[in-house]
Amino acid sequence: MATKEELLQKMSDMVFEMEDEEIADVCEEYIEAGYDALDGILHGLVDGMNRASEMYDQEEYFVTDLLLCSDAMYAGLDVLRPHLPEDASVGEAKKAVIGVVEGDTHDIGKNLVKIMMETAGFEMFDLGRDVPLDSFVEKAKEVDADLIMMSTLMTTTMPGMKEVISKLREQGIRDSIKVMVGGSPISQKYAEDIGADGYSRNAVEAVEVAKRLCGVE
Amino acid sequence: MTYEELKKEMEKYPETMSEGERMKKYAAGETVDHIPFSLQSNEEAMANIFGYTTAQWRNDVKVHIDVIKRRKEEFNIGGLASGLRLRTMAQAVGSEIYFPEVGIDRVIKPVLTDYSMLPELMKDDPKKNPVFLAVLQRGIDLKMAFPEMGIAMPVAGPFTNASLIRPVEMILRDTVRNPEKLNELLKWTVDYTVAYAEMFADEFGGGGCTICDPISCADILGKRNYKKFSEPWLEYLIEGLTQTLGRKPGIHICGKTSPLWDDMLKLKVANFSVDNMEDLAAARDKMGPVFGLVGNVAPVDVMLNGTIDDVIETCKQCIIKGSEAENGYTLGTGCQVPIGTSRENFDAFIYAARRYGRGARKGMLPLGIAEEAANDVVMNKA
Repeated sequence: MATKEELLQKMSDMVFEMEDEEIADVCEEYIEAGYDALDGILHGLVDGMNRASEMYDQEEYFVTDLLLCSDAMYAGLDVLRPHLPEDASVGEAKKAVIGVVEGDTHDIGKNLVKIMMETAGFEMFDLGRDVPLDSFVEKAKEVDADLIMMSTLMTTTMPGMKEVISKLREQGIRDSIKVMVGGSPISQKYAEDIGADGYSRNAVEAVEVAKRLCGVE
Repeated sequence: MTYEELKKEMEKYPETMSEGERMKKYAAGETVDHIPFSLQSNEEAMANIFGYTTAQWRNDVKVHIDVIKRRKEEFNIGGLASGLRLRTMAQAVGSEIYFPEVGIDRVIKPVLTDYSMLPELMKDDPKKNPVFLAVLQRGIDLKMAFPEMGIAMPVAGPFTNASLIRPVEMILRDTVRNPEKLNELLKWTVDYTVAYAEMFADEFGGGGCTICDPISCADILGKRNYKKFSEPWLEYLIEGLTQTLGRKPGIHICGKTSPLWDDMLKLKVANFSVDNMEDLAAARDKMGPVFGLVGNVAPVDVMLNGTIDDVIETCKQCIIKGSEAENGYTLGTGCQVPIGTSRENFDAFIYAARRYGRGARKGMLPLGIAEEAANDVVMNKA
């Protein structure tokens, strides 16, 4: 029988190599052997995803690869998650609300950011695409979010990001929530102009910025 | 500089050639009044300046004609287009598109969520397709109103078309899981596009063409998949368009493309329009010996949100970086000019082309740049 380390390595490799079909069987085997589900997630699945994002940073992996790696990761998560103890330390996770602003339906970038943020241990609340501006504020209040992440691909919807920041200010919660923006027409300068706390060019970098803003690590 | 000052300044640098004359002479290596320029897909932004919504421009041929007329009168920019904009093919074959009152259209629901639907979609005859016929008819109406203007056709690239017909995340997964079907879809998008080019050529006897292929960039597709899925079909499209229209098309790919430049040098296109994400000087060194270059003033940070002075300075820097490209350089925006771009910034762009691009000649720094640099030296010494 495979040792825990062997199975973890296999899970990590399967995520890294985009094997989204057999990974469920390996995760089953891991659970049946009585090993800890959280270890499986962190040292197996997430480890594979982290290796993939390193490759992305080195421009060896591309968006397609990250998507396929994440398919494998989620297939594994479906098996492992039900076995997490109820008080698993997810309570410590930073919370982020994410969405594509109203008037825009392009969400591939947002979806990638969400994947990478989940991999990094953030608890994500995904509002989807074409999100009414008030929904960002309402959701952030409802879940007591640490971070709001907005993206857009379209110049006509960019001003919506600034409006969300104004709405946070009006409600007196601007200082307690960090705001990150991204998307093709957005730049560091635009982010600064509208008073956002952070900007990133891609999904891997977004995690670094989010961690910095939320004081993680 | 205020707008009033800009208008006065512009009078110092009058145009002395027509657009057609300038392009022809510049291409032949002669000195022209100023560097050719291109404000990419500016009609929506122009409509906005003239007080029309995007929907009015899109739906009402009279408004469209008025936009072209006033653009010529007020900015001296001519040229007509009748082609397949980014989402036209997707719309023609059944993807659901949302057309906002003000703003760029977008795909709400790509039609091909299951490859079993593809054979049925492929039965559609592009030459009888109502969307294609309407696009062509718009071109006919415009040409009738402005017989003196040239007409060109934009098309979307194969990978871009495919991503608007089938959800992009599925397409990206297809590159690994379903490459054969993806290739079938890509080939069909090219055949369908070339069929429109034939309709266009039958009506107008050929013309210029630009391929816009935003999804083919290195940010999304990556080099490996570009080589496997984009390049072969781009080559096939370029060949079809060149044969049908009688001249090589140009190409614009949004975002980061430099990792693909070595491969792109193989494409048999006339010019390459460089996104503002890339360094124009690097593009000049790498691709200038092979293609004409266009670019790359930032559409959002500069054209939409910049001041008059920002626009002028950015254009000047672009001219300095781009103008020595061996096969010619057109001062251009790095992507479509956003709706909301002001009249002032359009004028500032044109002013910069006339002032710093004056006395342009293919492969050389324009006299405008050289003379002003010499003046600066004299002034400094004094």
